[in-house]
Amino acid sequence: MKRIAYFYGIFLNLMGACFSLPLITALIYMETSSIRAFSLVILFCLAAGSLLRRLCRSSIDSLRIKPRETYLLVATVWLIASAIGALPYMLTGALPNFFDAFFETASGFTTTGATVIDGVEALPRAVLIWRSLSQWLGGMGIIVLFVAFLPSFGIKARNIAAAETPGPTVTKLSSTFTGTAQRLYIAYIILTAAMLLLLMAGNVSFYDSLNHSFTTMATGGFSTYSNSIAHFGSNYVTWVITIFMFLAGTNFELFFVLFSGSIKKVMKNEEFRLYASIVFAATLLISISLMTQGGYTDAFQSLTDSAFQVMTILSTTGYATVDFNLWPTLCLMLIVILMIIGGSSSSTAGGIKVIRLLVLSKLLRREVSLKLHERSVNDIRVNRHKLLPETLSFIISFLTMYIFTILLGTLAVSIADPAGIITNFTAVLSCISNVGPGLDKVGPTCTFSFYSNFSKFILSFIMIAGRLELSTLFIIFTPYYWKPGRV
Amino acid sequence: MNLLRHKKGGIQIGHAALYKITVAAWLLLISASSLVYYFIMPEYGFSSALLEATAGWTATGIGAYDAASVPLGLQIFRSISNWIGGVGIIMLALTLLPSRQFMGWTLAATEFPGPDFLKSETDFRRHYRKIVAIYACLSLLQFILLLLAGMAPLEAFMSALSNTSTAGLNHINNGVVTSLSPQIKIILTFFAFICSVNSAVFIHILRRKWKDLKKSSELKIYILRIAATVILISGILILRGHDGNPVQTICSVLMQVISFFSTSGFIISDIAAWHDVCIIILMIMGFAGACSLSTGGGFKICRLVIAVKTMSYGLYRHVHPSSVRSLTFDKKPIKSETVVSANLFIALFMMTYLLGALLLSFDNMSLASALGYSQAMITNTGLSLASPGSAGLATGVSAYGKFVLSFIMIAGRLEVYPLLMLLFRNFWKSE
Repeated sequence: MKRIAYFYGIFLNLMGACFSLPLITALIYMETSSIRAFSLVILFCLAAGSLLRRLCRSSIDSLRIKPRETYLLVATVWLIASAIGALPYMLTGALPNFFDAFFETASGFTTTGATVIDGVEALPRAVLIWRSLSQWLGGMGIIVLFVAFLPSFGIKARNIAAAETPGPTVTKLSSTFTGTAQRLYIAYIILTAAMLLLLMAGNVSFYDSLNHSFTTMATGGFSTYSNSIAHFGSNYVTWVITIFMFLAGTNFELFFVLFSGSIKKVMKNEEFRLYASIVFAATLLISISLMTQGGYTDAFQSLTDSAFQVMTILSTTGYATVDFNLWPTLCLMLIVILMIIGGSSSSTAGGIKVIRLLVLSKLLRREVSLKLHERSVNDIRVNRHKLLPETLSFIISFLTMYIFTILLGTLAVSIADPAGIITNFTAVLSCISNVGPGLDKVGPTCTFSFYSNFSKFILSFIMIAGRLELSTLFIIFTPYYWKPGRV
Repeated sequence: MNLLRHKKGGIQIGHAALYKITVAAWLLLISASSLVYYFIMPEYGFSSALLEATAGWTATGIGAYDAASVPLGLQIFRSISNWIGGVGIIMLALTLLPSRQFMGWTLAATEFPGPDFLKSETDFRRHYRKIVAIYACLSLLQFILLLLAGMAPLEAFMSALSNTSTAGLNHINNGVVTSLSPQIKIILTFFAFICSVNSAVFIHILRRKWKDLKKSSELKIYILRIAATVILISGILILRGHDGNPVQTICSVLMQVISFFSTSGFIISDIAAWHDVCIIILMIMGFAGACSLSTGGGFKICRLVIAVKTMSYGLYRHVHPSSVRSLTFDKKPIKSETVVSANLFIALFMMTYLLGALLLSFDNMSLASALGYSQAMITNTGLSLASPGSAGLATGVSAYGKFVLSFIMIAGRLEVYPLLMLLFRNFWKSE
């Protein structure tokens, strides 16, 4: 237990360091209430963190966290981060209710982008930058951040990263996992910087560009404007963001493959091919539907809107340039399906991930062969690598858990809030896939503010569960986790 | 039925052929009877005839014609096709057991008495006859009881046939049976429940194997699920001040829940007065449907049991990565491939459900109706809860929509795979 407490201490200090960016913003814009709030939070993080470290120092040399403890560590770090991250919202008076603030921070760290704030423009700029920063930090994983920048930490980095990184497998990019984490973060930072420059080239202010680069690369979707990207009213900005959302939803490892010069290898990657074809097919279907049923007359406008919305949903970002609530049913149904699929593995996106869909289709093919009693039943291979039976069984139990979590989540939210089945179902779906907006009363122009505290808490919990790929969070609620001796 | 004749003739046929015959037989039956409906009632168009015929054979409680305007002969025809379709699906399930359709061999073997059951050809046929006899007896008993309760003979006859196959009661006021007397309602609900449990249960009862019956986890979970839903819904209704005394409320909720979970899909209680939440609960809990090897639909309780065990074991494996414990069903270990295929089917079922809703949404009906209809069709319930006003009638659905509804019904009834196979090249090559 002491080991974990020591880890919390370091974590709190790091959180404190992260709060300095909003503090600087507050100083630049001279927002007195924010200066006070962020200074208080930083002081609290430094004091509490140092205290914990001092108290638990005795066990520093045995700082080996057992594999079993990693689940507890990861799950609680995410819960604590969401609780501490909620403090600035409460202290500045932006969101005085704890459940609101918790929801907003959980939505930030899990890169969901669902908001309970009606009219974000009224918020202090420092709070807004904290909101965007929380998404950027959560995008690659809070703990992967540790591993990348504190390599001397000595914890079994791979186990932790496996509990936090999206997708069923973690591939090695470098001989040590710290190396892999660093390289992933380098790609992340370079892409964010590139996007920042491109947005500024489109006459967007530095402040807005920074916010939107943070939230796009994290596939988060918080915007500094209530009407999201529609505020800019520029096709250039729309397309830049569309392209970067596509990149953010791609497997980050592919950037290194591309960097080493083999474009062919990227094109042959099965997950990437499926991902690209889903984007292509959905965009085409929606733009045709908009032209024929949705009253669009300009083909380019229809393509722009449909490409942006497809990317924002599939990459689980959750911006909006139009109110897609008003679109024809076909588009809405496609949006629901895209929400379920989500982005690629090892990206910042949520959802069930394209790779699992790929494996699922291969499993179904094998099942058909089995039913037909064919002699040669092949192994399941992805990119020529054979998948182990354990990996397959984890993928299958994930899919089942995903379906049941959505159903039970909808049930729980519906009991507390009678907002209609489409609203509640898409709210839960949007939270578990970390998208942000849903449909109907939680559509792109609406917020989650009307939900009761109970529902907000459930939804925050579902967001964190979805971000940690369900099992990491659920596992600490099972009896056998706490009684390891019992078989 | 064609299939059975092949079997009895002793012709050796491959598995691919078996599936081809299955699909062909169902399509043939449905298209032939849709022509019957079309020629008798041409004013509604062919798509309505197809929907009516498909609903008849797949025992789904939806219709395209207003029951009052349908000639009596046609109504009787529909009831008979309900019965044959409902019992036929159990026959089909038994025939296809070795080929892992419906539910894996191992699972059925644990549910059915005797470990060597289904292994010898003679036993196999004896059970066919036994099961037909059981359902015939149940229908007869229901008919007599309904007569005693004061139903008109013809109506009782049709109700007995349709209700035995959990096909709903579309001939009575399009499936809205709220105005019937309490005795009749109780009889109908009771038989809807009985017919939605695994037919192995009857064989256990006939052999007086009460111990085996107690072990059946599928039956236990099915009853538990009904009880939990009833408590939840009636709790909400009572807390929110529903009219009538609590006992009445619980009874009416129980009847409606059984009607929905047995995938019969008649409206027996005043659900229009229910709170929205109750309808949502009913929808969410309704996906699993009835038990395997029954006349009901859905993705089946035995798969639900396995899915819950898989999830729990998946979490357990994270704590004990080297564990090699195997999952059990009715206290007997099940093969890992059965576990995989049960979970895979749930995923496939949900995918088909979404695909069905997607195809329906081309029609530009509201999202809630598309999702509601798709669920009602794939579980073969027929009652779209998202638009309960329409009850068992597909009103306001275009001709295209009716084709899609028919397609989803068949997919749900045949448990998707036979249709999915049509998409694979090796299925066509395998002759």
